[in-house]
Amino acid sequence: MSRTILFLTAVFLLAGAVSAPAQVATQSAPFNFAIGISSGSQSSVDLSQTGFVNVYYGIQDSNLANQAVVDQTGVNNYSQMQQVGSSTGVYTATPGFADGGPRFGAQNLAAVTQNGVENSSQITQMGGTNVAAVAQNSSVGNGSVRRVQAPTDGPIYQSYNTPDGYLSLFTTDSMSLAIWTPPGLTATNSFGRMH
Amino acid sequence: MKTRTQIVMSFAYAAVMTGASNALAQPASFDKGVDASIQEAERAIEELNAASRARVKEKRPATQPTATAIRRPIRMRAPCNLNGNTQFFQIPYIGFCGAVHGSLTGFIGKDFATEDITFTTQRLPAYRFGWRGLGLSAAAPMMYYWKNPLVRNTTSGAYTGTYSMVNFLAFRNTDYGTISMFINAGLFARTAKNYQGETRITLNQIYGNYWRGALDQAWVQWGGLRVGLQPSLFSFSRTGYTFMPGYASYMTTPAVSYTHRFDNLNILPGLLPRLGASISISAEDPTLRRYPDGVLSRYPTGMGYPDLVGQVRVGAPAFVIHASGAMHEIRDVSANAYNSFAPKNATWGWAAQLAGEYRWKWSSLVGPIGGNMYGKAMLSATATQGALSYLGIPYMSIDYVSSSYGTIQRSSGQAIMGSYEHLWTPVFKTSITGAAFQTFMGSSAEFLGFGNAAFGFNTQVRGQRVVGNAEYWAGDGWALGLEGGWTWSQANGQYLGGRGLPVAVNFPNVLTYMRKAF
Repeated sequence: MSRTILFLTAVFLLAGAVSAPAQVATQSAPFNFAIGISSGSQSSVDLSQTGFVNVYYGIQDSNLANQAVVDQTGVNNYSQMQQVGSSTGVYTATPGFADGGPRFGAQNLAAVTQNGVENSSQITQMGGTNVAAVAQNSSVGNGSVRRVQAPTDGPIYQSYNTPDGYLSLFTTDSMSLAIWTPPGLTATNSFGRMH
Repeated sequence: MKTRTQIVMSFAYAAVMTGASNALAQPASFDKGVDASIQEAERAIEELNAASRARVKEKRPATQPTATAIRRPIRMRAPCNLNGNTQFFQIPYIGFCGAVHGSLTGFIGKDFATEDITFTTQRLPAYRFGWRGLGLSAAAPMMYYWKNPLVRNTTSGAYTGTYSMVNFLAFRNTDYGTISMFINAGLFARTAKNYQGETRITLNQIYGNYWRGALDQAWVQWGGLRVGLQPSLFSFSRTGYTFMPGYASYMTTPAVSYTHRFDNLNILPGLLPRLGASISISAEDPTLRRYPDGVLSRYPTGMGYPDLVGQVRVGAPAFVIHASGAMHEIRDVSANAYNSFAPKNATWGWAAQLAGEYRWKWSSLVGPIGGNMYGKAMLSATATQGALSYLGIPYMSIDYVSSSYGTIQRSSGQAIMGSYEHLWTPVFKTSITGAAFQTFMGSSAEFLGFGNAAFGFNTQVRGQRVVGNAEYWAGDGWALGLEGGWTWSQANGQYLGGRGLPVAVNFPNVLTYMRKAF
C-alpha cells in the first residue's frame, strides 16, 4: 500500500490552526493524499476522500481534545493518525526538553470508516481518554460538513487569511494541495517575472 | 552622409578602422541593446593597449630586462590623435586625452500580458528539534506555480521611458602601458504600474540606491588590469541585436579583472588573417548574481567569496568565439532561520557559456546579388547549476532549495540565444532574436511527521521568446526603431511522484523608440 503513495496525483494537506476549529475537507480526485497537522487548544479534522487510492496521515497535538473523522471510499484506503494531546492530565517531565517534554492527557477520538478492497488503518493515541473506532468495508458515511472544496476545473492558486490561520490552496485537474497553517508555523513568499 | 558611412564601416569591420588587435574587442554593433558608444570606447581602449604595447616592444631590446628597461615616453603622432581618430581632446595639466559620447533614447511600448506565472514558496509545518525541544516549525520546502491575473493591472495601457547615457573615456600612454578610465552614467527610467493599476515613474535602483542605478560603468585600467564597475567577463557582447533581450546574461558589476592578449597568432594567416586571442580572469560582486526567494533559499547579508570568472576569446576581424565560466558561492541561512538546529550550509554553483559572432558582407558570399548588404549573427549557449542569474532569464527560478535540515539542492538550467542582424541599406537594418531556456528546481523529500510518506517537489520552468526589430537612421545621429516580440513560458511540477498540470502563458509586446547619438 505504501508504494501506492508514490503514484498519487492528488494531494491534499491540512495543518491545523492554533485555535483549531473544525477543519473539514472533501477530496474526490482519482488519487487523494491528505496530511493533517494541528496543534492548539482543540483539534478537529473531518475528512472525506473518494477515489481509487485514498491516503490520510495526521498528527493532532491539541492540549484539550483531538477529534478526527475520516471517511475513505475507494479501492485502496490507508489511514494513519497520531493523536498526542498535551498540557492537561498527566505531566511528564523529560530532561532535555525546554518545555518539560511531551505531556499526555487530552481526550482523543478517532473514527475511521473505510470502504474499499484493501483497507489499512493505524491509530496511535496518547491522551488521558482515548476512543478509537475503525469500520472497514462499511458503507457508512461520516456526514461531514464540507467547508473546503478543492476546485478541479483547472490550475488555480488561492490564498486566504482566515480566522483559523493562513490557507493556501493549489489545485490542478489531477492534483490538489492545500496548506492550512496557523501563523508562525509557516513561511511564504512569491516571485515571478516583472512587467 | 558621413555618419551613414561610419555606420556601414562599423558594421562591416570595425577592426579595420582601429587596427588588428581590436578583433578581440566586443563585436562591433550600432544597435542599443548595449550602447554603441560604449562599444566604441571599448574598441578604442583595446586599440590603445595594443598600440602602446607594440611600441614598447619595438623599443625594447630582446635581452633587456623589463624592470630596468630605459624607455622614452610614448608619444603620439599628434596630441590625442589616435590613428586619425580626432574625437579625443587633450585634458589640460594631467596629460590625458579624453572623449565624450552618449545617446538619448526615448521609448514607448505596450505589454499585452494579462496574466503571468507566479511562484509561491512555503515551508510546511513539521516536527523538528530546536532549542525548545521537539515542536512544529516551518520546515519542509514546497513550491506552487499559478497564473497571476493581477498582472493585467500592471500591463494596462502603454509604458514610456528613457534609456539615456553619457560616457567619458580618458587615457594616457606611459612607459608602462596605457592608463585609461571610463565612466558611463545615465538616466534609466520608465513608467510602471502596480497591482492596483497606479502609475509610477521608476528609476533604476541597485541595492536601493538611485545613484548606483544611474552608474552603469566606472573603472580604471592599466594595461590588462581593470578595476571598478565593468561588464562581467562571463557575458558575451550583448543579449541579441534587438532592443528587447534574449536569454543571455549581460550585466555590469564591481570587479577586478585582468586580461592577457595574444595578438597576431599567425595561425593559418591565409585563412584566418590577424587571428588573436585573450585570456581573462576576474573576481566579481556575487550579490548581483544571487537569485533567492527568501524562504526556501536565503543568502546572508554581505559579500562572502566573490564570483570567480574566467574567459577565453579567439577572434579575427570577422568573428569572435567566446568561452566563459563562473563559480558562485552559495551560503544558505534559510533553514537555520526557521529551524535553529539546522546548520548554515555552503556550497558552490557554477555556470558556463559558449558563444560566438560572425560578420560578413553578403556580396562576398552570393556575389553581386548581395549588393551592399551586410549580415552578422551571434549564438550563445549557457548552462548552470546553482547560479541561475548567469542564464539571463527572468526571475522565474531560484538558485537552490534548502531542506529543513540545511541540505542544499542546487537548481539547474540551460539557455540558448541566437540573433541575426541584416543591414539592407546604409540606413536601414532589421534583426531578429530567438531564445529559449529551461530550469529545474526541486527539494529533497522530507518527512513531515513520524513515518509518513516523504514529501517533496520538482518544478520545471521553460520559456521561449522571439523578437523582431527594424531600425532606420535619419542622419545626424537620429534613429527610429520599431520592435515586436512574443514570449511563452510554462511551469510544471511533480509532487510525491504525481505530476501536476503545466501552467503556460504567452503574450506579445511591441515597442518603438527614437534615439539621438552624440
